[in-house]
Amino acid sequence: MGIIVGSIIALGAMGLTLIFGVLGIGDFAHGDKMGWGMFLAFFVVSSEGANLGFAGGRFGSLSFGWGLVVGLLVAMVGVAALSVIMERLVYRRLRVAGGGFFIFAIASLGMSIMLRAAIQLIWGPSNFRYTPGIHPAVEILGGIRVKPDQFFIVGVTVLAAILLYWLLYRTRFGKAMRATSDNPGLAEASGIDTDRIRRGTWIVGGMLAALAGVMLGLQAEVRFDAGFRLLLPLFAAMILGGIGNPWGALIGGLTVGIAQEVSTQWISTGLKPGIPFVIVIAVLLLRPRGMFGQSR
Amino acid sequence: MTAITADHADHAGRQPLLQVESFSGGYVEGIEIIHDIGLDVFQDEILTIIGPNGAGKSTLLKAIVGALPFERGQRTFQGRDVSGWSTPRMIAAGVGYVPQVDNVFASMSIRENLEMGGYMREQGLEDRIGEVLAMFPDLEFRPNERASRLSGGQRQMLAMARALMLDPVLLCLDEPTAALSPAARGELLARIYRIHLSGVGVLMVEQNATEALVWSDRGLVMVDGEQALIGSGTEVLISPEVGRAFLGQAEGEGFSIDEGMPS
Repeated sequence: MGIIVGSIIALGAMGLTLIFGVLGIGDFAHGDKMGWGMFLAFFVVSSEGANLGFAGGRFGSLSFGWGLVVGLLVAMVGVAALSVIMERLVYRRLRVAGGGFFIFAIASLGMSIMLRAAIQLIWGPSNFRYTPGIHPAVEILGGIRVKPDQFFIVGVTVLAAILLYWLLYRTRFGKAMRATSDNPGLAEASGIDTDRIRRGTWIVGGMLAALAGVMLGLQAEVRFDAGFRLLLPLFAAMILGGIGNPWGALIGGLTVGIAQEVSTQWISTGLKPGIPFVIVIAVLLLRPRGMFGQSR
Repeated sequence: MTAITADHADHAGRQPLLQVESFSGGYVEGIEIIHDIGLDVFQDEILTIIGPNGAGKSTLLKAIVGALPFERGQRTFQGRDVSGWSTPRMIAAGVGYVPQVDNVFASMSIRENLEMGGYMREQGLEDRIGEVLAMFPDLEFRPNERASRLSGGQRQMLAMARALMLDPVLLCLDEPTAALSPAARGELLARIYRIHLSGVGVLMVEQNATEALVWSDRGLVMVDGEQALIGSGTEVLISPEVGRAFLGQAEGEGFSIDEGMPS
């Protein structure tokens, strides 16, 4: 269970840490971008979507079929577009005006509230599911019961992590993203179009947020504040893994997810959401650069 | 102050690589840090800008490569008017620029630093990486080492190697030997000289004036944002103007022109 939630947190934290690392923005709207991804996919698979011809059956023992795959693609494109629009309308202007870290953070908080309110306006405060009905879990080794969907979620997370690594360390664009993160002035002096890199970062970050949102919808319920509620664990995972480090975000996400679930052995389930807080405080006290943070 | 201009004999009739005329600039509009500079750099020379701390040497270099927010006057590069051009445009036109600090991508490998230096190359990236690495034996044998693990001298070499990736005709270096040991300083200056011999004009700012001037064809002395003197390396070394300029400074500023001077 912790691994599943951890995977979703990791997906979200990968996008968050990328945006933080390259753009220097602590993006409080990231959770609500996940929410938008979740609902855009829901729009496609729900009845309105079905009329568009995307209902599309099921894959084997998974709870979904082509409908959700199309929904996922729509969500990724949609949230990426949303991120680019926000960068154009808000962040770029603030950057040109010389806004600092706190200005960006507060702006993203405002964006967070707007995005969440928009979901509520359109879809209301109710809970939804991608596909109705009960999805039985299957037994794997040692009597542990897992739903097929959950294998899918973990698989998607691992794949996303590999693709992100490939992007950042093997492609010209990704290396330029790392260069911009490392030293924006020198990147510009090397002829890297940093505006383009920033836009690309928002796009990749938005796609990861959408992916995380859809996985969250698949695992739990589709609800307007589901993404927002995960914001603190996302930040905990990012800080634990070392800001700007995608691998760290993956391991950090899994750690936070597992820690939350395991904690219920000793503390009341109601206190579970406090675990990320404890992790953040502990990391900041003991190892401010995170598990994999490197000194320069 | 007077400017000695008897240094042009050997460049007579040839086009300078870079020229700036009645050039002023600063970081904030209305507050000029450098005033009325006029200089030219030829492809077959090393021109070194020296002067006391706070004289505006680095600011002048930044202005020349288009990295200063405000500038006034004219910049010409290879006969083209490049006034107001941004750094990326200057780089694309054939100027290599190595800032004084933060001049490598610390979290990236030597190879990746060079790839970033050659980001604008349409083709021949791999070949150029090979050529540039061959110029710096210190870097050649461990291309996957992270830049943050290099010594100060090796970092400077990497910073220059990065700037050479686009085959510049003019290399602008901001205090390349600052914070280096005397041995590393000598090695770096010798390396710069060798790069220069391969056909690259060099314009550098130096704090270690005597040492740098020995390797330079010409020197330009700046004081209080103004050009106090320009002349051949030796002329500048023995000039009373230079002595006066540096003696006029508050003591303890760490600049001595007498050190190691030929008598």
